Amino acid sequence: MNIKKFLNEASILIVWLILVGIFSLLSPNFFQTTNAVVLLLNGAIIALITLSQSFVLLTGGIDLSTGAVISMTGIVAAVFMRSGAPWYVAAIGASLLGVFAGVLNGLVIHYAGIPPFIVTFAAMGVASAIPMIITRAESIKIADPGFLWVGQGKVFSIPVPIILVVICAILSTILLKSTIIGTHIYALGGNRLAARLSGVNIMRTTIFVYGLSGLFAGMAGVVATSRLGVAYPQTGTGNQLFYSIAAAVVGGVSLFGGIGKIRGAMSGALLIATISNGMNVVNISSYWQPLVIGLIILAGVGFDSARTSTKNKSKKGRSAIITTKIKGLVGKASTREGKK
Amino acid sequence: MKKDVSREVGFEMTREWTLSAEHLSQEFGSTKALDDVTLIFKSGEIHGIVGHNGAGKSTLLQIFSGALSPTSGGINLDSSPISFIEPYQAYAAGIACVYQELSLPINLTIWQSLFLGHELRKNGLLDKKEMRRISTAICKDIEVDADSDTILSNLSVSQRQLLEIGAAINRKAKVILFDEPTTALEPTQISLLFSIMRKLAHEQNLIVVLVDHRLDEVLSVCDHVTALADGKIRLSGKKNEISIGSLTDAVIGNRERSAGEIITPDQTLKREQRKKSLLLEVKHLGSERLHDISLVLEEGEILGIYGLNGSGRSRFLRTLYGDLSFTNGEITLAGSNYSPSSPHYALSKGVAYLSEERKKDGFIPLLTPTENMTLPILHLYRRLRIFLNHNLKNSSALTILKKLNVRGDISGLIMRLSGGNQQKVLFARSIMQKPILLLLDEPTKGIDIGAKIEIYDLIKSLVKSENIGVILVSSEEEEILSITDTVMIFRNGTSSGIKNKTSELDIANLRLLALQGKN
Repeated sequence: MNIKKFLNEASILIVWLILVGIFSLLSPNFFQTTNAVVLLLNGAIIALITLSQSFVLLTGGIDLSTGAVISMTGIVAAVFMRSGAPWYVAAIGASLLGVFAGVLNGLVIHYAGIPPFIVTFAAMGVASAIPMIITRAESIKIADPGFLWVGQGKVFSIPVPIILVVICAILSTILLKSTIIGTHIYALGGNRLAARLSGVNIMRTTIFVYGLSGLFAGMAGVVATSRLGVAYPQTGTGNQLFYSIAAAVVGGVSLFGGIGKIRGAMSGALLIATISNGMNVVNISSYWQPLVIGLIILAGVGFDSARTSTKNKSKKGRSAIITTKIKGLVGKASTREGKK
Repeated sequence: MKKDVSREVGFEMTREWTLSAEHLSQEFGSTKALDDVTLIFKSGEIHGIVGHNGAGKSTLLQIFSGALSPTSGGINLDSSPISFIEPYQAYAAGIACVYQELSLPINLTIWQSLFLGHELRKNGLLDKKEMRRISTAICKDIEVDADSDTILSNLSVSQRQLLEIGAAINRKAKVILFDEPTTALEPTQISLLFSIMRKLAHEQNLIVVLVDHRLDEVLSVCDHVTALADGKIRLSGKKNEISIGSLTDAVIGNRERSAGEIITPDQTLKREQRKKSLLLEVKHLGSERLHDISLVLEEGEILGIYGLNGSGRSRFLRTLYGDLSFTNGEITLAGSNYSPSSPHYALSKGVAYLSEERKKDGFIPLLTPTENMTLPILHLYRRLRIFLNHNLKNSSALTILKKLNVRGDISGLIMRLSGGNQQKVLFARSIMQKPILLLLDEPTKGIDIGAKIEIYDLIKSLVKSENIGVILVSSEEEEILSITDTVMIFRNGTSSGIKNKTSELDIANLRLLALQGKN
């Protein structure tokens, strides 16, 4: 049992090792320290948005606005600094803007009862338009050395973004494993109705989770902007959202809610970052990347549904639970009251 | 229309024909839901089937509609045997069932929903004109006064229910089974429904079967009445041969007084000796579907609530627990005002609740038993106000699990446990909340007899050792009779407020009370 479990969790690392081997064979430039640093720096941003997505997925929701929030917060940080704010105010302010966007998502999802898919879809539109409107689609150059340190600096020769990711991942793990709200997040994703009857505050948990998702997306925006030294209004509207979902799902976070670990999600982020980087290094056109990531998502979700259904084949009523969860993902589980 | 039907079914609809059940038996494990039932439905008749909870009515209905295949025995349509493996085969044979829950999609128009799945075509395109024409004719038949282009969501519930009948007619059904169709209807709507049923049977020579538990209703509309109790036919005959008295006797069954004696005298004695203080007082509680419910509950009392399906029993419990809202009335719990606005609130006031469908809203399948048990009381296991003390949490949960004798892998996921053990875990969850009021909705539904008895013992010992009151909703008479002190009857979303002493009841008069509603 434990060996099986270990293999299950290690399988993603095995796939990763195989990929590293293949890319190393295909290009001598891949297995180099300089490339490893590039991979990890890109990976840091993917890891942050994967954290952002994972928390929401664990409750059985989804956050489509992740990528757009990156663009928005990056531009807002630049605008702050342009108008004279110190770099740390800009960085923290931008992250808090991410929290604000997430909390707004959570409020609408909970109080209006609109499915997360739709709410965050709309938020994606709003959040990606704001930076374009502010800058008239032009990029803003950043010169503040303090701000650039966030994405380019090093502490004890370790890049700051990587330190940031490690801290966030550790805190997230503690949050999920050792706090009440962590347990409530799993409970909400596992069975919303039962969680409510067990006294879980659905409103608070939902808003917390989307707020946290916004925080990580905001931080990703700051890191990405700092790393490039330029705030592009379209930084996050490319493949970022795509990466976040792919990494979480490949890392074992269930799209149906209730299952997943930070450790897995981070391995997923590493895998996606490696694929993205490796394809660049071996000179495959970047147009191919979404295609490959798309197939990965499909494979990941296919594996996920197979796992959830075979695991519980013997249990009657399991299909009902899965149906409720799918409903919860697409729409709030329609709480039809009992007959009595 | 009649011509169409006869061509479709292969025999002349104007002569007399029958649908019959022969020696039907249906066993679920060791319980016999139906026991050698032989019945004949004649064309041109409305046949009423009455019975109590668990009498076998719905099992019979499920067999006729192809949802169940009987353990033994068979059914004959016009004297030739037929058997169904899937519900659509029953439909194809001309047997349609109209359920309480409405099944037509509400986003479609009347004509779209009536022709759903068998749309008419002309030159490869939908023949809307013809479908509208037929729909209009059907609407006239079933007295739904609406244009055939009306969207279903704009119709009333009773009109939609009538459309379900319309869909059955349009499918050329020759037998229409109704499963407690009047539950959600107003009196005027009920009489309209009955007149349509008469029209179908008497003018169009169909078989109409009405399954119901309101005896007066059945006697007023049906031509032939059959009463089931405990899976057997107790009475069957023409309406004019049957009195309401004999029908009532048949429905409540003629079991000897047995279950009432399970209560041992010393227990009742102990209860009376204990100083009683008022725990819960509900005054004139009303909501959308409940009206004017009043009751009092003392500490140490186990109050049973008994009633038929749809009587509002579960709704009442959920209202007390804050899951459903109420509009009128006031509630006092342990001397102070109690206005449950959410389960969270109810929990904080010391109310614990066990839901009827543990898989639907009872437990969280992907968590362990321990995690499920401690979910409502996680705040008790905090360290430094933030972090969870998993060791403390697990050890206190394990102590209780051990006490309740939960078997199976308790470190695995709760969904791997058997039904009885899952229920025990949920019980343990309630106990860990140290409630002052425990609300139980069908606490032994779908679990085996061994686990059942263990749960009864648990409830009893809980009441003995703690200052706690219990309200138990159950549709099993034996359960009510063996563990409660008092019983209230719910009927049509309300209760007379009269508490009956359990020691003075037996199965027969419990059923009688539920049917008649008054003492």
